[in-house]
Amino acid sequence: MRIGICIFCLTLLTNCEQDTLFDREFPRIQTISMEVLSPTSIRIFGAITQNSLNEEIVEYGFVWSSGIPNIFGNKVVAKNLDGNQFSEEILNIPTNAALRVRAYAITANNTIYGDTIPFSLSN
Amino acid sequence: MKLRLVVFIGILSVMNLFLSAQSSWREGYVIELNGDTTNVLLKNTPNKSRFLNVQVKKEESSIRYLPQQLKGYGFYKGKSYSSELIDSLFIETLVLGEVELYRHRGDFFVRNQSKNTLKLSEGTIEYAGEGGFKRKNKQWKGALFEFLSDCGVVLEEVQSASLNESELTHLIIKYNKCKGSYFKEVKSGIPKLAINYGVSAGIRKSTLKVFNENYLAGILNNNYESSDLFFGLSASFLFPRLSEKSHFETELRYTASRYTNFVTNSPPGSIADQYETIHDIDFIQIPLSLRYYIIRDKVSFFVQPGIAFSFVTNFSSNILYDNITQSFITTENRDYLDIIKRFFTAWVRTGVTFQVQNFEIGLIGELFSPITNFVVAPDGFISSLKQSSIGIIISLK
Repeated sequence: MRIGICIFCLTLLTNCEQDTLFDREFPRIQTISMEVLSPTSIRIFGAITQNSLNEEIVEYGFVWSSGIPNIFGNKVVAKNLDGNQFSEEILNIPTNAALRVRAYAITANNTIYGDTIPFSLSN
Repeated sequence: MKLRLVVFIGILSVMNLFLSAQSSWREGYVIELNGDTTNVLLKNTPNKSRFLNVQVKKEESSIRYLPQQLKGYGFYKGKSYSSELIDSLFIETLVLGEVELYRHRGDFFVRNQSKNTLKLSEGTIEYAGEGGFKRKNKQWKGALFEFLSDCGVVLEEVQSASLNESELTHLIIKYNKCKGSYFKEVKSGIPKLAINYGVSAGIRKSTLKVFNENYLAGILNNNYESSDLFFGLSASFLFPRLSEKSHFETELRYTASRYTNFVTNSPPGSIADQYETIHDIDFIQIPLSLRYYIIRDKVSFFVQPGIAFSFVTNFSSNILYDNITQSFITTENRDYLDIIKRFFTAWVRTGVTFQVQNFEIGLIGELFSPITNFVVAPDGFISSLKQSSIGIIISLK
């Protein structure tokens, strides 16, 4: 009987899954973090989340610029999606400049950007 | 909220009426006027009515006995009563032996083998007039010392004793031990403290309100509701000699809640702005409470007020913001709220329990007092959290 009670409790615990998030018609993109590798290079980490409709990701990576970065400016394309995360190095970055970087993904229907992270590299 | 409270109290009242009709029988014995003792089933009535009569089960019916018709009766592993001292009452027997101790409400009776009986009661002596005062009558101490002074009990012990069951029982037992005669503490079969362990589980419904007139007011929805499972482990501390109808209880309870809301609007220059708000709050709650059984039987009904300490073990609050334009979509994750991590609330539980072999199984309903102003950042938030729950409890007796 005691074992039965324990099993009952564990069943309740394992069934305590939280609600799923709202289903969007596009995947969400996250710019997770940035790591400085040298005075002119960084590694940036991103993720593709909540792709509830399983839209095909045609291209993904990072864009950066001194203004609002977009896919028509500086861009590095990543090809190392591991689970839902990816990363890429950005090289030859000008020093002492106020810059911004964000992750992006392109699907058949949309171009989606993640959060913008400001950064600056100095000698 | 008021409506819920009225419904809650209504349910309590109906259950109380229903359960008042319930009863059960316990194994016990009666001592007949000729001194014969017979094993019987006795109706398990509340303590306050045990003094006036006792019902004995006879096949499908029962017979009610008055104090004039029996010498006494008692429950196995429970209390026993005697009518030998007062004809019209069954009074509780505490110690049997060379000197015996009985109790009726706040009065105690000591009787020796010569059938001399001493009533110990603590009235109030009032001195009227200028400089008048009231004080408790301690004359019982002198009388008791005279009764016990010939063996084992010294004056200082009696002088320092209070008129209560525990201290008087100690003195009478000490006297009987000194005399070397047979004695029996009637309640010795009843433990002073018993601890029962149990589990609880159920559904907790909560309503979270957060509002800030300077933070996306009119865009974000301010009300969130969540229904979540909770489960807990409980320990009940019973004092059977003092009360069969109440005990202290504590519990360790875990609940994980997620509050979500999704709103969309269409600002100029965009197709849509979407805000998905997600608050995850995981609690460990520790209610400390006193359970009181209004009806204590095979089917019992109880109320249980107390305080619940809450510790937030995991908390996150985010807004997933999506800006959808003609040419692209931007998705951002924004931190939203921070809250206090420890707080307490008043708490009341009520329920019905059923005896099933060695288990007590119950259906419960609970209300927590609301928590307000628990958002500590950003500034300017008006916040409240209301909680109620229903569930089951199982405890091992």
